[in-house]
Amino acid sequence: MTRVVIVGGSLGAAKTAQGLRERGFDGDIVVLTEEHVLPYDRPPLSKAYLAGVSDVEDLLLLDADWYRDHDVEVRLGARATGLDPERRVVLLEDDEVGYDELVIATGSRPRRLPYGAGLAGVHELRSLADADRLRAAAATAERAVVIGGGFVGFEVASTLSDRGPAVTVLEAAVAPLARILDTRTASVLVEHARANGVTVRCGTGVADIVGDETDSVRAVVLADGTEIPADLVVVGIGAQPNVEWLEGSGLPVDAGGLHADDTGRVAPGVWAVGDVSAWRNADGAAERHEHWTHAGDQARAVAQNIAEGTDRIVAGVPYAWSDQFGLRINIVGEPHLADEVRHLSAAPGDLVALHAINGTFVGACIVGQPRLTAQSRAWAGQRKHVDEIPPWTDAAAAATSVIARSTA
Amino acid sequence: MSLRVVADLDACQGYANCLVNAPDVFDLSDDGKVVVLDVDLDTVDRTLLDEAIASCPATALRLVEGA
Repeated sequence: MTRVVIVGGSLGAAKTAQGLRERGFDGDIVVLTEEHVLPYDRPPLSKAYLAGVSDVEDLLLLDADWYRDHDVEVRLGARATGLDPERRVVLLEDDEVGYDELVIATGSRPRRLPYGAGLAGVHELRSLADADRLRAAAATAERAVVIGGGFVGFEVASTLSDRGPAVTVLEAAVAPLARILDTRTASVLVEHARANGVTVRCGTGVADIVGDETDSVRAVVLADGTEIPADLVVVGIGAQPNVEWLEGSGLPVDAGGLHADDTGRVAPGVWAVGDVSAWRNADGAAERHEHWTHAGDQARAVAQNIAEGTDRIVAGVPYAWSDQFGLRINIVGEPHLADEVRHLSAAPGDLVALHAINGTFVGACIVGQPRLTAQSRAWAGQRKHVDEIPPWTDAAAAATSVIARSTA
Repeated sequence: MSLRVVADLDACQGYANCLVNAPDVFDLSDDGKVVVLDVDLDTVDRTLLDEAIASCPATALRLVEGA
């Protein structure tokens, strides 16, 4: 009987197992996760879970009954330390597990700063355990500093500021979110954060994180020498793929992730899904995303490819969302690649930025218009010419709303 | 046997993953809530329907069999 082993404990792992059973796969399925909890959903960790309004049961992607009813074995606390593709075994710290088909879904982990390690009150946010520590610290913190002005940073800032502490967000670049969004959209969202009481400082790198005599964090030191007092620091400066355990396996790994073809196949009998993976796109380039929807799409494709021997690819454009300061920000496609952006509206609660490359509609950043978001996902997937998209023309009618920008 | 999709409109947050995956079955209202279209689900590819339901980040959709 065919045995599929899935390494990982989050969305990619759960959705692959679920997809295999939905596709009628009746062989063995074993999930190996180094964590001590069933695969869980990460987006709420910076939001409802950190806010204290949801608990662990709410986070589980599939409950214990599902795994039992579908005959899927989950081994908790099973950390993969290596892989031998010749023998088709995953090495654990004190065991090994054989497979016929292997799905690697080991995700990513936060990038770290070279200082602040060992100081109480310095946090990162990736796992449930991280969230538990941060949630406990937030209950008593008075001055929080979030290092990194990306979506996770702003989500954490939003949740923390609701819980009490005064919050400062630090971003080394000239504008937060500007690496992800066009500058006008980014500035609307940053001003919205400020209007909600958060201090945002841009253009200054962090030089140090310093503690007091009890080794508790005391301040964040900026490159210009300014000290920002803090009793809670959250570092959110991006993530890197968890590929180190694959070193020496012969699989194609580098800093950009575990490389797969456009069907998720890495090597005979080896597949990759989720944050750890960089799939080849239609243009032949490697693309790694850290999006919930993308990981789920990849898991479903790989599940079908294993169960049915197909060559299914992931067709849709990337889609991500961020919840912060009462707004749901929808990001369709990859806004930072656009060479033209048109704004239909630019208020915090009604924000529409449409993106094109060379006259082809490729995505959008939208707040407050769910139908337009859904339509944008379809249009971008179809690579429609902008002339076929009424909102693009509407935006063009208001000359002041046209912003052309060069490719970053 | 008849199939029915039950949508929890309190849970639905308008992510629209369902209609991207199964546009024949789902739509979105102007206020951003899922609308289950009036189609005979027995004529819809069951696996694609399962996938569309599983793609909901809010777990707001459920497939039930029977009247």
